[in-house]
Amino acid sequence: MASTARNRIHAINLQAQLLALLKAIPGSSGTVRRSHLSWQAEFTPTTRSITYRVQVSYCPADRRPQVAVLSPPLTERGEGQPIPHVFPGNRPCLHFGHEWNGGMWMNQTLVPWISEWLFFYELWLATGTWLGGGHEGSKPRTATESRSD
Amino acid sequence: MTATHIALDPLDALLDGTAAELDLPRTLHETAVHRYQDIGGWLAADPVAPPSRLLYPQGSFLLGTVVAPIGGSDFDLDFVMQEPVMKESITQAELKARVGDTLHRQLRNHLEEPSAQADCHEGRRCWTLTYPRLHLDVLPAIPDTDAPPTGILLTDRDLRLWQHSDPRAYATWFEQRSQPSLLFKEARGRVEAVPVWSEYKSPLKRAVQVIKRHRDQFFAEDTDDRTPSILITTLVARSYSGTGSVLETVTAATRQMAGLIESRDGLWWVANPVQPLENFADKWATHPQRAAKFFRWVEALRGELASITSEVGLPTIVTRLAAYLGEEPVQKAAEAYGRRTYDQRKAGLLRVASGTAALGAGAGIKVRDHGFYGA
Repeated sequence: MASTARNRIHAINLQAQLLALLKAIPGSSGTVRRSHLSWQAEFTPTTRSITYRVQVSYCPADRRPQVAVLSPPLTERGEGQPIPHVFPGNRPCLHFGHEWNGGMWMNQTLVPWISEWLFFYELWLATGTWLGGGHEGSKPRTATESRSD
Repeated sequence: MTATHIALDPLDALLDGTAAELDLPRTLHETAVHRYQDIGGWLAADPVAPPSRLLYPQGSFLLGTVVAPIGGSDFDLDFVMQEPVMKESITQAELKARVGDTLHRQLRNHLEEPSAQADCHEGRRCWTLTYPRLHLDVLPAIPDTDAPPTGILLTDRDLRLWQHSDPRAYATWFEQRSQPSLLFKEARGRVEAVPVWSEYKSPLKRAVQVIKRHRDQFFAEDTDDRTPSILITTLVARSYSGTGSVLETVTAATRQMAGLIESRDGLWWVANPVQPLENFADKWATHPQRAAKFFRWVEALRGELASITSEVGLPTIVTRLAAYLGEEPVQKAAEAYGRRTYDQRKAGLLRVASGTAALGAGAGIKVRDHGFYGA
């Protein structure tokens, strides 16, 4: 695994990244062309969840992989309740900038985070509360802290 | 790392969590135990009272299957006050009056204590002590010499004959059904004199709570014909295989409950498992509509559960469950489930299955700690 020190990351070859992704979810598909990785896969975060078609695009120059839910379209929760933890265009924000770099395997990081994001997105639709933690005071209290009588 | 991946099943977690939300809260449980122990202590020290008199919990409080009533926050918990008197030497009315006098005297003698800050009024089968959010129903009883060592006889203002019962033997039976593995250990489904509050309960107890709640919603406008809890508890416990999740236990119960009702000489019959001559469905002989409504209710429950089981998407499942079990407990259960899953991830216990990336525990790729970015 790569060192996290600045400028000393041993970037993983994109072909190797793609192979690991294809192996992580059999039936998924992808390509590497001119330093650009593109991968599409179906995610069903739990046995009771909807199946989502997700695309990951990654260009080492951009540092952060781009994740998009292709179908079904993500929906807002009634009026005035935009989806939490998304970039413009409703693309899931899976991690803080420092938590991922090109030296990390996507199948070990992004793939679990995508499932987790989709799970908390469905629970957010159901409850109106983002329960998955993250940026800016949206960290939920832990189950123990919040046990009421 | 364990060998297999255990997939998350949100429907099971929501049923479990809804039952937990409807359960007697810990603080009220502790208050009830204090009241019961205080009164028991007064009785033991009472110079007028016979020394072998007993006070003990029975029913859902003893079984651990209490469910909050719909639209209210007050809980009814049942206790037995057993007098060491033979049937031949006392009438039902005398026993009822004697227990009432004793309770009133104890409340007067301990006026300054919190456990004496209660109204005490007479009901059909019991004396009710009313505390904030808690009603303790005290059922007067004497030993049933035909059913030793724990059988008792109860009073009923509307019935001429003594009512047979054996709540402690029943609780032992239920506890053994609930945790069959205990049968092979020394503990043998022991029933505690003081029920212990627990955040986690066996799937059987949770299933009974879920099904009782559905019953409460179904019969909300028809409480007279509502199927009694003891009948439901018996049928669910009998249909329980001894393993399985809350969802599997509820599902098995909905499929088997109707078939477990016997017909003996034209009478509907659900035998008390510890007193086979007692029929929990005896009222159906004089109120046949109750049997019809029971079968209708079980069929509705079975159909609704089957339909929810085929749904996909947590929002739909939460909405459907809320319609049948109540908006508030289901919403709270969904939130608690999310927080628990988040805690699991923080603890490094959340995994995705290799090959599907479905969430779960056990084997699989660890969901590394991270923070979802963006507000």
